Amino acid sequence: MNARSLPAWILDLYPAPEGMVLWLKTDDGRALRAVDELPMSFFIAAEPSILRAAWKEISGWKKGLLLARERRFEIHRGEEIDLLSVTAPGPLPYRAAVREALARWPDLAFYNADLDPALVYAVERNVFPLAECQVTLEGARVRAITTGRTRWDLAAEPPPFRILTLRLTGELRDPSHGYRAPLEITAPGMPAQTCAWDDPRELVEAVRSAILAYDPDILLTAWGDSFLLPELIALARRSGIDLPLNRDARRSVLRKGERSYFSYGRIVHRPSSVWLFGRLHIDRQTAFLADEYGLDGLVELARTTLQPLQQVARTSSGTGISAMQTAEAYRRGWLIPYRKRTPEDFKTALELVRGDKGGLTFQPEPGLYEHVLELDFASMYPSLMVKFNLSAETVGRTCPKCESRGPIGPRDRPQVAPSSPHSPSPSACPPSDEHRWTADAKTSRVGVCWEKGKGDERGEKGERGDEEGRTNDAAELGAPPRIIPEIGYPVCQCRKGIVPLTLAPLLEKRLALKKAARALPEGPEREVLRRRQVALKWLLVTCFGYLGYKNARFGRIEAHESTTACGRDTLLRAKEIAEERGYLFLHALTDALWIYKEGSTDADHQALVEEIGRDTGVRIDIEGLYRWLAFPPSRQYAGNPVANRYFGAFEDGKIKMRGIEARRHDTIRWIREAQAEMLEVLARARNAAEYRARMAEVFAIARGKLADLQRGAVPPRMLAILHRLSQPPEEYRANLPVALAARALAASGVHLAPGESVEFVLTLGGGARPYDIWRATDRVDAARYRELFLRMLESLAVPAGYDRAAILARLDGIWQDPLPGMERVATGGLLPAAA
Amino acid sequence: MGRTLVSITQQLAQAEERLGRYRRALTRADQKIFDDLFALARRRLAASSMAADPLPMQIILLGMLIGTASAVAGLAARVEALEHERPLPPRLDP
Repeated sequence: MNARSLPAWILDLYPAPEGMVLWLKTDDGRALRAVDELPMSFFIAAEPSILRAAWKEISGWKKGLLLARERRFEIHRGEEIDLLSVTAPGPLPYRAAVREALARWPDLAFYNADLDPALVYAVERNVFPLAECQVTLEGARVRAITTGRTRWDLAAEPPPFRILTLRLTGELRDPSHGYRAPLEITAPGMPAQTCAWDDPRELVEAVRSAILAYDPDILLTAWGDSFLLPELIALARRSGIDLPLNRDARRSVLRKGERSYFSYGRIVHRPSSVWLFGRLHIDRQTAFLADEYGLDGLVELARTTLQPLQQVARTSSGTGISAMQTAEAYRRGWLIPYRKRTPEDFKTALELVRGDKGGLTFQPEPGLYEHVLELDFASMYPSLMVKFNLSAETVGRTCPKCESRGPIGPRDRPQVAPSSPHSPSPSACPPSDEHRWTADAKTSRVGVCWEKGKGDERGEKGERGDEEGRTNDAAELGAPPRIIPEIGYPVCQCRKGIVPLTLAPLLEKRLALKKAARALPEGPEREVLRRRQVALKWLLVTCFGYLGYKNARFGRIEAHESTTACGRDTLLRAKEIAEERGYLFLHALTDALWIYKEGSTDADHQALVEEIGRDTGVRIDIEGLYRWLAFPPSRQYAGNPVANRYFGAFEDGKIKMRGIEARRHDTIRWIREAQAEMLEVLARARNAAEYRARMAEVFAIARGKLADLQRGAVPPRMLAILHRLSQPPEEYRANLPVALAARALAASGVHLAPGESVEFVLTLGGGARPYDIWRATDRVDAARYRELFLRMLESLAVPAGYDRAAILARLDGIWQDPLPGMERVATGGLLPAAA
Repeated sequence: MGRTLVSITQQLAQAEERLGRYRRALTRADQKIFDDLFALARRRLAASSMAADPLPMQIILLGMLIGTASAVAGLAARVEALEHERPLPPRLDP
């Protein structure tokens, strides 16, 4: 059969019995299904006698598995270990063999046992999802695939996707809660169609003919995972119509069930999902943070984290970071732990007290300030991880090489000498270049043994560390170990750790994207760059948490503690430098600080950030100079400060706010919009005195809004409160509004799982009505909304010197009497049933 | 988040709660001072966290002392200015 070579984009890739299936998008707009082989290996570590017995037993399985003895670098142990390597001819036999081996030897240590075939394929072939490639095909088999691009390229066009959109007409509302509106089918260059749900046959036919006519690469939906696609599939089945959602006719649509789980102290609900093959289904409602960075951000994430687009649209940034670390380790031939077996190091109580801390949180004096400068460290934690080489395998460990150089201390020498658990453990560093496994890469590389010479044909580039055009990342750092401030852990600097290796290019790329965006005028091109860098920002935000997450493959609590310790030291150093330069310290929060100096100029500010950057080695930027800045007092402890609530207007009139109502996602729309309108007025104030003067306008807006509420002119959708369920509806014991609403929804036949959100409106008599089943006869409880409104108003008015009584006095006869019991009403949606 | 130990913020709240019966027996005027002293300690939480002291109450007391001394220093500066008929210095927050 003749081979043909063509340029194409990798649209999708997934395992199948014949190997890896690739969907290629060609220049002329066609989508081709191609197949490539992908042998995959896993490893077992044990005593030699046990490995010998395992070898003998696996040989008897007769599943075409190739066995070998190998030595590879184990990150947590810091040395190469003896292994039995088991190589299966493809991803599906690999999974079967892993399952069988795990069941047979549950107590042995397994490595590379749960790798994602798409990621392995990308690393093995040196390509990435959505890459523009040159593919040589022989029939449907891939003979060669190369790309001139890397995932770190700044100039990166998205593939020429054909996107078909399916959504219900009207406002975006969850149809699983009973909302129905005609289905809208749209695609560029096609007339939009709307179809009612009362004729299922016609509806399914319309979707079918749109898919056949347009042949989309992406099916973009709103609630396609939890409602639209499952419903369409069910209707198609009932009507006996074939609905070609998949391009791959050999596969049926994959449905994954919903689940609820705890994350960071709250319950999260992940709805069921519908995965397509050969076509990509993206549900904008479940795509993680997609509203913030859109499809451009998702494409950026798929490329950078080496995960297929459908996966990226349904997993968290933590999974992305984990995938990048796995890819980095795989590329170097380091072992990827299956289940981490490294417990926390032993610590004394004092060491725990010293180390078990987070970022530094100051308490600002409540009030209204002028001419305040805010400085923010750029990606502080990831930068520190790179700078200090903080990684699971480097923290608390040194090697003979480090010791011969002697430690360099931080400014703040540890108060105790590193004691037993953190004393240098010998030979804990990765092997040096001379005996690194990569020296034998050609013989131990997965897949090479399957077809002699194929590795060479697929473009071996010698040292795999250089594959992506990055240099120096395997070079010796050559510095003595660093000692972490406060807690005194030594950190080996002989070789870069897996975490800094993963983060360094990511930090670099994000910075370059930000820089490129700044150089462009406002417009669509700049917006694309912004979205791409925001998507990367979320990876960087998560990477810190993943360092301490107990289930993270490359996490270790001591590395996490070291990061926060370095962060605290860096922030305090910034404070000290600012104070040395005559600034008054107002507030600081983990990686940002607020300072003031009468008559300070731009040149002063610039000199300050330059000195801090030089001194700490972490880049710090001027977030802005505030015309006025308010730190509202705590509601819980009157007059006390709150660390993370503030709002202010920068010199250019732009408002920045954190923690106040207009910024919180659980604030009702009526209040959010009212506060935004008030802040727009206050943004025109040039100083604190003008802020106070403009409060008159704010009170005028408030009077108008409250009058609307009083006469029932605020539509219920503006008053709907969004609340996350912490338990199934029937398990709520108190009659909280959320419980009342959840029970009412459940009674109307809606299935609700913990972690899902319900929207409800507070009604007269202490009730709460789900917004999805709102009736014209329902009556809004204006008194409770008025209290929420007053609390919002307090956020703005208290810094200007008004207390509750003074605020009420300014509202001119609109409900001047405080209602009994209202002081019990809490913020953040935690409303009692009735006043 | 995922921490083993109780944070200094929680330790301060617990200390205040533990002293609830003590506070109850104080006169109303003293109760106000009790609350103000805890507010002074609360404003110095970042420093208390850096101290990492196994006995948090002594760091809480130190915060109260520093806050009180800071208020006294502010008053002293004002008295001195009044005595010498100089313009008053800006009020320092305790």
